[in-house]
Amino acid sequence: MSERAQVYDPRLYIEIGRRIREARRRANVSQEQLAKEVKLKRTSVTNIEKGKQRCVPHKLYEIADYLDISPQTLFPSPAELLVPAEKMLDRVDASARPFTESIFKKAKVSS
Amino acid sequence: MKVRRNYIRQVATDLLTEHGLMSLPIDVSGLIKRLGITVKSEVGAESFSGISFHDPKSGKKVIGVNSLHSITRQRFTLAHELGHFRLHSFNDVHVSAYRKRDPLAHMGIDPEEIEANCFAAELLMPVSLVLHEVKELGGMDVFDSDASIKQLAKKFKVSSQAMSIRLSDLGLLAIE
Repeated sequence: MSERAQVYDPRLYIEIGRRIREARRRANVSQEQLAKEVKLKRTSVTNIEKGKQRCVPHKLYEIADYLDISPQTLFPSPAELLVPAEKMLDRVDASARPFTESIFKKAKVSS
Repeated sequence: MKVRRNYIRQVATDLLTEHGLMSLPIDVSGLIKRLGITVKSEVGAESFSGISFHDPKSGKKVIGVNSLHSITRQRFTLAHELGHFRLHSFNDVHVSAYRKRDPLAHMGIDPEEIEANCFAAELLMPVSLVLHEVKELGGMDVFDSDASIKQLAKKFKVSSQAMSIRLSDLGLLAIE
């Protein structure tokens, strides 16, 4: 897979899924409820939220509609999909950070 | 997510065959290098085995391994991290840490960690080679399975613990 392809797939789906989950939780809606409303299986909703299932655009619009958000907010900009090394570091558990940091340094990936 | 055991076995076997590495002990470092992944080692806390990440900016793929661990454990870590590269999406850094309370559960909660462990076992101890070596030994010593495990572990360059888990998973070891 080319580097470009890897940025969009799977990252794009993971990010869309994350945004759906966030919006759903904010709206206090369960996966079951959402699934029923947009005619998907509950497991599909789970997988979409994990980025493991690719949701077709019209379903994304239906989901956005039900969760009362603009569909645009579900789509990240290409820049948002690039996770630079420094940002990755923020996601690492604090106890693992020194180890990770020095590996980053040795591999010359941090800025 | 269900652990894709059959799929993982296939991925590991194909990788070894493709690179002509189906011989003991499995040259996991060589394989990783050939795949364009950089390995760095560093002193880390006992509970950290390693990390893997893919920097989208530079395109660099890196595996970090805890240099304080035994060689056999480092080999398992390398194989485990390689598993993340072959099986999982890289939106994040994977940090592999043994959970302090039950190292035997080998990080048994997160499905991706279980899959990476499964991959490591398939890569370092391929079924065909395990069966062959057990046959060479004249079967497992029923009265002293520990001795057989030790001999096999040496051949595969893995820990006795990893070897015994593998043998038991393959049904070659009576469960105590």
